[in-house]
Amino acid sequence: MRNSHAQWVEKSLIGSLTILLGAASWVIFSNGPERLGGIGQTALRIHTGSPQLISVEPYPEMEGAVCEWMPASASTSLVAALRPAQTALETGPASREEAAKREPLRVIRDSYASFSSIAVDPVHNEVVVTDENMFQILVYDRLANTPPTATMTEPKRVIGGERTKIEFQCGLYIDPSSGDIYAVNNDTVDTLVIFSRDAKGNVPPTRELYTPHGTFGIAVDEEKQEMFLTVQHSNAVVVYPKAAKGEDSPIRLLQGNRTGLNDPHGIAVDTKNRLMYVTNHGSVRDVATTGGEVGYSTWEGGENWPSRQTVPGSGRNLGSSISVYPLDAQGDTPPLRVIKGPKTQLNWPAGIAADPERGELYVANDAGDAILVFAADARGDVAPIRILQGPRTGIKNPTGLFLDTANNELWVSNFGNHSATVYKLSASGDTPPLRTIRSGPLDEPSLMIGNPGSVAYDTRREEILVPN
Amino acid sequence: MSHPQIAVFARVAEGNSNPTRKIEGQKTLLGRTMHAISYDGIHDEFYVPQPFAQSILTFAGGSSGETAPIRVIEGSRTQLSNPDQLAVDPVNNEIFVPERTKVLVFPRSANGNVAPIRVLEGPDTMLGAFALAVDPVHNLLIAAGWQGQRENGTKLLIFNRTDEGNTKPLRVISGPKTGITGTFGLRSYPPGGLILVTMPGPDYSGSHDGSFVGVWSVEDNGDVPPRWTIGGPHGMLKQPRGVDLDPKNKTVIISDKFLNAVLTYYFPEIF
Repeated sequence: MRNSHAQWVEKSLIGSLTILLGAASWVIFSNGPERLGGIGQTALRIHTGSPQLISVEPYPEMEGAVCEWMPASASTSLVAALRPAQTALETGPASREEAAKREPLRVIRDSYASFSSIAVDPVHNEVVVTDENMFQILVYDRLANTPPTATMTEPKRVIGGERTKIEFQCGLYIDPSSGDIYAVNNDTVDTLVIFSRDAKGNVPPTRELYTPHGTFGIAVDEEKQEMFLTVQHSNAVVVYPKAAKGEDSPIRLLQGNRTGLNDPHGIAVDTKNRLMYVTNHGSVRDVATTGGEVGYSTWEGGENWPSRQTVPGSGRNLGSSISVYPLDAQGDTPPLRVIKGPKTQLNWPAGIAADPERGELYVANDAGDAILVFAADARGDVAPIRILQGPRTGIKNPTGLFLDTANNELWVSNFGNHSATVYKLSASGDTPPLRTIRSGPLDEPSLMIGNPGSVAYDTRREEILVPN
Repeated sequence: MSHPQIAVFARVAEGNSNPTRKIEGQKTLLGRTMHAISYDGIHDEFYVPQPFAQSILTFAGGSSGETAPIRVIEGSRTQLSNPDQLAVDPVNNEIFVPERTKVLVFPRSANGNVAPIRVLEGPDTMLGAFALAVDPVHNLLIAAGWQGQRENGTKLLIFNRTDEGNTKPLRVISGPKTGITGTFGLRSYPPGGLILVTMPGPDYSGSHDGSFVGVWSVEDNGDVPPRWTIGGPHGMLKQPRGVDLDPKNKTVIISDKFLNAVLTYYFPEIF
């Protein structure tokens, strides 16, 4: 009797699996093999160092070619087909080993690249973006334009994978002569990575520089061959020789309680007027001149390394600002002037660029969904001279920007909608972009999850809280 | 990362599901590097640390958009130095903040420049405190952290909830059988007397195929393996950071830094 029952269970199980496999196959293949989605796709689309799987047909290197539109319903259908396998778990307790192999019921994950910073190589007519979601650098044709019905524009080249040391890249600089790509690791990898222009795939950086923890923005003074990096965690700016590598030390350090560096993000240099501009989110804690406590763990560098000693209980939030310094500022130098206050509309400013010829300062105003343009000599609580903002602009959570003065264009990386958009430098108001490069379908939600360090469950609302 | 935020998703969200709401913007006082968040269902509030401003922020449960916190612990009396994580005891109304060599305890309703009501600190405590959890049922405080090397020095330390000063832990879980090579997030399940710990491996960067969430009993002591492992080793988890539980639906919710994802595991065995 037990044997026949066991056989029945076995047959039922095989039958169920056959039906399940059939259903899953139908979902997959009825939509074409390029329409893999859901948990299976999410699992596949980890950081492989290659372009993410969109189609089984190999793409040649294309000049901004586009993919056909595909419905998002493919992924949810596959998940639905797999769901019975999960509910079967309710039949009884598993062994410890079986339980360890259990797949998740659900995965919340953005399937598309999220552009955090952007730069243009005008010599080779390419635009380069960093992707914090899938840990990649993507290179597109500068004139690419994703049609509204297309899923995305295929990049010409992708650099990604564990050998690249690319993770949460927030800052980007393209060498105007060589096309070398400088990409700033903001969080979990304390290394500035530099790639040759034609690098692609899972390749190690051409050059590495071990930086303080929490670097964000990058700017370069080509005349003096100096490279500037902001450091969030220690409220500092470090300046290196542009060719620095390995454990080379900074040649200058701007840090101290008088500097007005408060959670610094973007940085721009004006070599004509010898000025440095820094955007600040506002949080600060005092640097301890003696004693103090180490604020966080990182490796210790040599000369001109930012102090990690902070004064307990000195923290506060001073609000968003732009602080302006002499280009060669170092030590505990106060800013020459500060742009700050309600009229500025600054709300978590990130990327910044200076145009000394036009006498203008461009700011990616992340939480304001806007590009703010200030007079370069602005100070105090002043209104922007132009604002690029509105539903037709396509600007959503802009964290990076780039001035392409050779082509008279302003580029914006929109962290909040899988896109890079480009405008005339003089654009203002609710002006549509000249062109848009998208990494995902139009209106596909951009989750903006980045280094989710924790999670909480709201039992009242049955919701999941995810902080970055 | 580029953009600080707290994104809120429906329990059954998956894939590219839109968040139901987000908390972001200047007025929120949020900063990046929020390595802990705790929801308190009794008082319908949630709590996050803000290490860049050395503060603890409390928000109303349904907060959305650019909303200011309803309370902020911040100032010279707080002793806050690098409040990277926290744990909240909604039953006894206390907030616990790890500061590596010590644990600061504040009243849950504290606001402004307030001193801690207790400090657990001293060589006998064996702290390293990186993450904390509170079990009000068994009246315990659990600390995960390390002294020396993270890879081989990480321990789970179990104290009485009200311990202060230079107090020895009641029990210590550590050793090669535990599989602990570095921890990140920590959560207790008081009805079951369980501790859930994310195990991302020894490094903060890259992926770690040996990652998992380990489950121990609050009664465990010494070099004991986890009673359960979730999501691995050699599973989908690559760098698990945060963990929380949904007892009603018998699921464990885990955030993973390498995947930039939130994974929900059905795990009825622990409920």
